[in-house]
Amino acid sequence: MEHLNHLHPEQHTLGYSYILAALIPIHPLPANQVNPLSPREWHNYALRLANVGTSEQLRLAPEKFVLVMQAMVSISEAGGEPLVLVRPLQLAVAKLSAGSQTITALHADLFKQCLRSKFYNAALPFLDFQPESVEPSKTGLTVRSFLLFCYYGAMIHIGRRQYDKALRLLLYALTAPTMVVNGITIAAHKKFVLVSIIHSGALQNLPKFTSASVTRASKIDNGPYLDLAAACKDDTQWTRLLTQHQALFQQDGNLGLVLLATESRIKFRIQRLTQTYLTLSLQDIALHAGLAGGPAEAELRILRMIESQEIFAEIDEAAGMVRFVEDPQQYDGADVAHILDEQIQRAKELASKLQAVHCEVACDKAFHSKAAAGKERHGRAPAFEDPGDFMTAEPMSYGNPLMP
Amino acid sequence: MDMDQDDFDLEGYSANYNGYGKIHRLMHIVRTAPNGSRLELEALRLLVDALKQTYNTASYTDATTMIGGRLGPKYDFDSAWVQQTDSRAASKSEALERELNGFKTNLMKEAIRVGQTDLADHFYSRGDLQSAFKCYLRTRDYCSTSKHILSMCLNVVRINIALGNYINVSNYVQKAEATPDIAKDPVLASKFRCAGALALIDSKKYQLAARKLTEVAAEMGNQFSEAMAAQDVAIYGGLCALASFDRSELRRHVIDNMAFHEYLELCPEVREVVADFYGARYSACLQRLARLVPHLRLDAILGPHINHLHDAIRSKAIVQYTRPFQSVHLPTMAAAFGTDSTVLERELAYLIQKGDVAARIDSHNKVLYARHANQRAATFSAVLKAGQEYLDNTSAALLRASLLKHDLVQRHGAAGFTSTNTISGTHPNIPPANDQGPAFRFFPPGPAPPLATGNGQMETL
Repeated sequence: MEHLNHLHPEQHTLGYSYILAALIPIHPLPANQVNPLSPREWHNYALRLANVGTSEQLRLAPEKFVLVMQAMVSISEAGGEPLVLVRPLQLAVAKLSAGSQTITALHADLFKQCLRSKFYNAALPFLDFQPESVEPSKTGLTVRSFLLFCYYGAMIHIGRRQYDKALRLLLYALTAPTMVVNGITIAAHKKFVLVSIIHSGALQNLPKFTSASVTRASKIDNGPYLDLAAACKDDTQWTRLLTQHQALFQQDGNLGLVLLATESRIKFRIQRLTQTYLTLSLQDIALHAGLAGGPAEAELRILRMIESQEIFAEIDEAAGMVRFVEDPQQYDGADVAHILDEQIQRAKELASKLQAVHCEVACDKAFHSKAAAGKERHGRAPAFEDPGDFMTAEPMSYGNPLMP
Repeated sequence: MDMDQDDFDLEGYSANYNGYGKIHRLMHIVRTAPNGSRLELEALRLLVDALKQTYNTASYTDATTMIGGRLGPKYDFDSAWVQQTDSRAASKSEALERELNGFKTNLMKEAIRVGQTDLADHFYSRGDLQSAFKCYLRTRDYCSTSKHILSMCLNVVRINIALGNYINVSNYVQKAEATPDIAKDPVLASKFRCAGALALIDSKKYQLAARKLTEVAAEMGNQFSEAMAAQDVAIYGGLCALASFDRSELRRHVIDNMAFHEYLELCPEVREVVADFYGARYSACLQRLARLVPHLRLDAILGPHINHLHDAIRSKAIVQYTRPFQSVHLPTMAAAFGTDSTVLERELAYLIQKGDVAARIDSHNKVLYARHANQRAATFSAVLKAGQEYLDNTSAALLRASLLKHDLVQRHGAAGFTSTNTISGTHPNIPPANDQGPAFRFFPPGPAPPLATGNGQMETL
């Protein structure tokens, strides 16, 4: 314990985290035992480590650092205020990822504290990137912390109403390679069902490469959610399922999302009307969209949707008519060119990354022995004869739709 | 509907068919016609008349029970006839089986085939379709020429149409069509086309059915009346064609098709419907069609599909009507379709949402405006979407590959975290604060809920 005072957390980060990990206070204490450090004292040491520890050293033993940080979180959580944890965890995550854009074991802890304190923006610098690879040996990432990264990250996006990004993260969780199904995956699937109704008005299919066990387990465990998604077009069925499973949704903490999905169904219905009608009376809109509030509610909803640019329309108050107009976006501005250019640049980057991965695989000994074994077993040639084919393959051949 | 069905010429209708086809269709009318109506009694009368020509005592007994004396003494249960027929049938089948066994012991291949067929025909006449089907199938091993194969196929197809087993029908039609000699006999080929079309109608593939029926040779005429009368070729083919063909197809396969015209002549109502449709006289066309529908509903094969076909033809007419116009005054159009503009508006809205009509409705002024898709904007938005999808999918694939490479794969269920636990009832309310691996030894599970999930979130949303 006195070693801690001899060491400096900045210069001796590695030793510091090992000692702190060994000294994590035990609770509840078995009889006749004393914690060498009281939780409060230990917590202060851990906080110092988070604040001044050096990135290179703690990346040498990430699992010890992660252990210390998570113990620190659970001590503080018992104290109540989640907000105090946000800053130390931000620092810890930044150090563990060493400034590069990668997922660490502590991302999920940070996101959770952001969610608890409703301070969503604090998570953004660590969330708004496109993860392409993981380095568990340096970041301490485990399956569980990866899944939690996706799950909590998606919840932050949901809180900020960025449903497309939330869906992408949830899909990462659902399509992660797996042999048995984690409970987090199942919970992610529940959110996935609801968010995809909110975002696109219907359930999106899981991609083909989703592990079969996930598909199966989600069908068994999440029946009520899938039923709800299937009843998307049917008002009476929807209401019936809503009341029938309300307790379950509440227990899963998804009732808020279910209610949002109910709202968004109406929104999509009104959007569909704009494709069909040029003018339509408020009365008819209320009828078509199944609004209980009649024309007054229809007017309010249309107004809100116009404001958020979800539809383009004008309301003629005197005649009680709504005139729908075409989307003013004609794709002829500099902004569109800019977006296109950006996409092309990113696609180029990705193509070269892919190329690098291909080369890596082509030079990989394990891959070759596997391919050769496959050849013997099936008695036919593998997909390519010579690894040289891979090296010379042009990056264009990966089906990049944006390249000329 | 009853009124419309009452003027149905049942005698003329049933005269078009013979064999089991007649019995099958009459039984269908007995089942669908309202109980006690003129139509039901008439159908029963004709049914009993037809059954008396056969050995089918089982159906005869059923039919007379259903009549229950309502048609006078002539149609009461005739126990003498039944007994006599039964004993005749028994001795006939005994004789046939003895004969067949004789052929079998002597291994006379051709004779066995003929004997099996005779036995099958006898079962068919008794109304025992399953046994007949089995016997016809048994002839398969004794077929030596392609002609034999074709006749076996035709028998099997016939039986399965009567049984309503259309999967076998389409299987054996395919088998027959793959037989080399079929092209030499246009009548036989046409019979198989008709059978194939029936199977296609049953699986709701109206367009393919129409194709098959419009290819039926004129020579066939009424030779397939066991399953399908000559008029039926026109009715089924005409309606399926109207419901599924576009204008040029209609012209090529129906209007300019001389063979099909001969069939259409047999059924002037359908001919007029087709002509009106092609001549864009939609009001007349739909009115005629509406008059035909109640009769067609009585048809054993087309009956279940007629509503769908009727709707499809109506939608098709609406789509074709709107196509050439830049703007259409809804009341004018409603008059042309013999309906009022609110109903039409609803139908149009449905078709627009389905994507069949490219237009938008001005509900205020009751005008329909054609809408020309902005190709440029659509292309831009498609390109942006495809680009984004490519980026997302590729980086997600890279991420997954990286997870696999570092073996971050969930392999065994940590207690409390596999889905089996959820099944058994305890819900793993996602990772509570208290189970974080080894740090678990710290602090007891707090009363705090795991995190601000959904319900907490609602407040901020």
